[in-house]
Amino acid sequence: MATSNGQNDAFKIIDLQIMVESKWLQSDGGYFRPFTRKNKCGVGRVTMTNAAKSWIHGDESAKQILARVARKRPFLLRPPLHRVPLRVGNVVEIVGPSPSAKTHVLMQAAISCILPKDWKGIHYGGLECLVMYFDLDCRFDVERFTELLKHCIMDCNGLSNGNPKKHGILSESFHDFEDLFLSCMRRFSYVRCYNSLEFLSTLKTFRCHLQKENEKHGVGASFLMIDSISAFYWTDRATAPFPLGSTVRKSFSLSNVLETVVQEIQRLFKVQPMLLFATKATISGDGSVTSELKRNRGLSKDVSELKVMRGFQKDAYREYMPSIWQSFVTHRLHFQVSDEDLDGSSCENKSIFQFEWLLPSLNVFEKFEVADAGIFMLT
Amino acid sequence: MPALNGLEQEEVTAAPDSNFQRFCAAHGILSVEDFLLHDVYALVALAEREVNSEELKQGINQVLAFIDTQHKPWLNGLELLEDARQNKHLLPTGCQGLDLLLKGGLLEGQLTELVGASSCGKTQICLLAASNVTYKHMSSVVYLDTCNSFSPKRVAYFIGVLNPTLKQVRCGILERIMANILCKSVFNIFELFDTLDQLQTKLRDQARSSDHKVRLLVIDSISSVIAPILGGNMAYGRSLMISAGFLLKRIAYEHNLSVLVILVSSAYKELINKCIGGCLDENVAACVVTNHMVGGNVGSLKPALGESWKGVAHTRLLLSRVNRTNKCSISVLKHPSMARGNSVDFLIPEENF
Amino acid sequence: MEVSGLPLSASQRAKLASAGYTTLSSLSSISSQHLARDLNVSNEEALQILNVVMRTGRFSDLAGASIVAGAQSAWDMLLEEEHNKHITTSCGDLDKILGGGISCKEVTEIGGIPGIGKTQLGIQLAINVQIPFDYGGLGGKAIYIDTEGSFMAERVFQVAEGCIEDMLKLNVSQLKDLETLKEKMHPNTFLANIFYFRACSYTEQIAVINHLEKFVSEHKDVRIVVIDSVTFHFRQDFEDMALRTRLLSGMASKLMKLAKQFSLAVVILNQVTMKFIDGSFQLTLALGDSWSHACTNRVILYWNGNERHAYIDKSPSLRSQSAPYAVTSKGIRDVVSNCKRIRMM
Repeated sequence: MATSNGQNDAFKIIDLQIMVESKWLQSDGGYFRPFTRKNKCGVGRVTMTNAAKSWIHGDESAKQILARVARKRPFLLRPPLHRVPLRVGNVVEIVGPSPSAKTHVLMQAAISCILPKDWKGIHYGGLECLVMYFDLDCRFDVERFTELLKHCIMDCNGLSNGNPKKHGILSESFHDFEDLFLSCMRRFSYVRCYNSLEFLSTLKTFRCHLQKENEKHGVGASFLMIDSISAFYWTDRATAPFPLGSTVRKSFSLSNVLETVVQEIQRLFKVQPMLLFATKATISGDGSVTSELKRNRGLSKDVSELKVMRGFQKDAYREYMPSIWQSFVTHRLHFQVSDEDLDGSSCENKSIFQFEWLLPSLNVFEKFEVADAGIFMLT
Repeated sequence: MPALNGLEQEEVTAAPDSNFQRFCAAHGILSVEDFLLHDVYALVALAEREVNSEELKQGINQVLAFIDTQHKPWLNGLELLEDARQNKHLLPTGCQGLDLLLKGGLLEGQLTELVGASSCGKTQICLLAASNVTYKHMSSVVYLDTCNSFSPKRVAYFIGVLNPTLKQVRCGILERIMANILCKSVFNIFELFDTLDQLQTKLRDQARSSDHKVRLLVIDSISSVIAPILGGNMAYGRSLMISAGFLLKRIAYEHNLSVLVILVSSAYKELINKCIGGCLDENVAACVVTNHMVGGNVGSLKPALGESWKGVAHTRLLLSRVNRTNKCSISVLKHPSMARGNSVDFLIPEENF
Repeated sequence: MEVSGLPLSASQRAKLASAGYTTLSSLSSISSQHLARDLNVSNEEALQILNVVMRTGRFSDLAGASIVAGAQSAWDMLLEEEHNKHITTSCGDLDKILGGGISCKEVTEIGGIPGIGKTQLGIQLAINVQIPFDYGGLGGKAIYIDTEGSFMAERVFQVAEGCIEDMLKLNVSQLKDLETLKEKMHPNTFLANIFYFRACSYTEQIAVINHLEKFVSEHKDVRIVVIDSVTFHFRQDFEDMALRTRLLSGMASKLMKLAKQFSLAVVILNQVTMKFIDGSFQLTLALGDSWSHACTNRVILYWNGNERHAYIDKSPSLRSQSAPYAVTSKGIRDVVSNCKRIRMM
């Protein structure tokens, strides 16, 4: 990368998209122009003559800047996705053992996408866009989804009664919101795939479907969800590639399938950038905090000892997907089951999970609880 | 997925002509799967360089049209909800505690798993559920038995419990009810696949409005067919296990059944020691029971079929029995809309000799 | 993909997948030459693959019978169960809690500490299965698989004598048959009807069990298989635990299938061991949970004071009770005591 002394402050770590579209001005009229070439980004220096000319022409009007920034503003998502700004084109991977509320997080994100920004004077803060949900685990519970949506609508209207976490009386005052509910549900698109072939078939014909949906609703799709990308991991791994005759043929192996998936999604993002959420199940250990500690320390049965050790947890996450998928992922969130009630004192039904962002690595463990009305952070 | 030259058999689309097949073969595409793994746009670009590019592109479109029929259709949220409300009902199991815990019963279209140590009452609950479904709903139950533990005597007893007056009535009614429970023994994973495959085909061909729709599929127990193939470094065993899981979920969803699967778990603490030196001391029994439960919230149960199976079922329930009695306790390990840890105690009805 | 669910070798599956045959319907109407060409294998191998496919239920001849071929309705099974034979244990109390004796078509596991009488019970059952029809027995033969070397022919002779004695006592009225009976029923006949296999390592044990299917189909009158004891070779020095679990589960499935297919009783004798659980030593069945689903019924033998007792630990249709029994020179017999009551648990 070209640089000169004293200009190092120009190389701050900034989001690549903004770098691409902006230019860096210098006092002598020359400027650093960022370029991207095959995922490598650099900054090269442009000389004075054409610098002066292009500087005078200007890059974009104020209106264009506003439009761009407004479009590219990171999404305001509900916890636990609120810590890191996410934009279209990002690929967020949510990893965790089963069960750890990964599908719930997806459902909440989907709800915040299909809700409108404002409706009949009430602010819902949604994106009013389509959500495309690929259910590879085949475990989506539509009743739970509707329950969450209804709770969200009621909350925004301030109609939740008393404790927002408990199951409120939804049916009575809900008739007014039937239209809103129906229009939201129509923006949610769902498909089930029982094996990799069906998944690939769906992806290949996805663009047609997307176009149809865009025309029908007049809005674009913002969120793409895959639950879960590791569903066919073992079945595809077991299909041993066997070259029959010509070596030109691609064998149906795990890495080839994922390569095609990544390729299709990347193609899609060029035409219609979306934010991709993918869940992934861990395949070793039971994912709970204490079991990891036990494994690291042998059979330590002393409860107080375990509690002390919680502060020194090691990162228990192990990657197993092929590198083509790993390099496609831009953000990673790791969930774990939290064994709060180790001493058996708590008899309540708690579903408490803890999470940390692995990519970008924030090194902070936070807890959240899944209640009837949704996900709530525990501080 | 057939080879490209076999597409005409599918009767969906006209067969792509031989030029197209030659073009594809030149780029290493001999079957529809190969087509799926290739970049369509790159192929179109290559086709445009050829002389007969229009026909080639038409061929590509034909294959894409065929591919479009191969996957499940897209549904929107409303259609999903409608399907769930119309077709997926709750099946009460006949065990009041369990029905209370599950807010109604087993859900059709979902896979419910019952995990527990040996001899804690899992088979009894299955038999009770089977009896209840055939008796109350006049529907069929398919019971796949891997450990010869299907007991028709117990089924007759449970039906008698559900309707005490039945014993006085002629046997004909009992016969009709019990004729709707079909039991088949499967002893290895391939037999299981075969049976499920047949079931799927038969359910597809079955008339929609038949009286005795199959509503419940019980597999007791799936661990005995999967344990022989699991383990080692081969992915084959695990892939068969996952494929079986997907097949069950598919059958449940497409034909609106509820699937109940039994899994024998390995608990760290064992309850077998009832007879230490012949002493049937109550204190000993009490200790053994508590040992099983303390610190034994779900973290201490070894997953019976590994971590990969944990994500397969919709609902997982843990069953445990108080030593030497017929008191059982069920708790929720995983549920799509309920917190973990909910539990309930109940009694399994027992015959008096 | 449906083809992965067929019992074929890994290379055959891989070749089928590569050639594009992923569903069963794609293999339904294809000739073996065509398949051989596509897969690049010999004609015989292609034919073998097609045979495996044709044997699956989808293509066999089911004239719309039941939902699942080979299934029985519960009512038919109930009627059949009434004709199900039981093998008596010669101990009235024990028979009572077992519902008449060891039932055929089921796998029964009998566990207990060393010296409690498991082998004695096994021998008694091997003899009792040969009791002729007229005396309420099955008139069948027995297979005895011995892994520990605890089968003693002299003891079997003794037990056979005791059994004959008891049978003759029943028949004391019809004196004229006594002589013919005495000739027909000699202990040696009983010994001759027990097929004895000695397994000295786990591979031999698995080989014997694999061979049983063929053996029983040749000797149709075998009615009981006793395995004494099933866990012996799997306990010491087995390094690979995953392999052990796989082998044991495979064995368990085969025994279940054998019991169901040929209507035999399979009796498995198991040892009990001391395990260190939660800071104290406890008695548990050897092989623990990996073996727990291998049996239909489980009976645990234990000492209660000075008496031997049996307790039904697991059964789909029997209640959990215990009963006393005694080991005498004639074999397993009732306990002679003042109060003969079944102890309810």
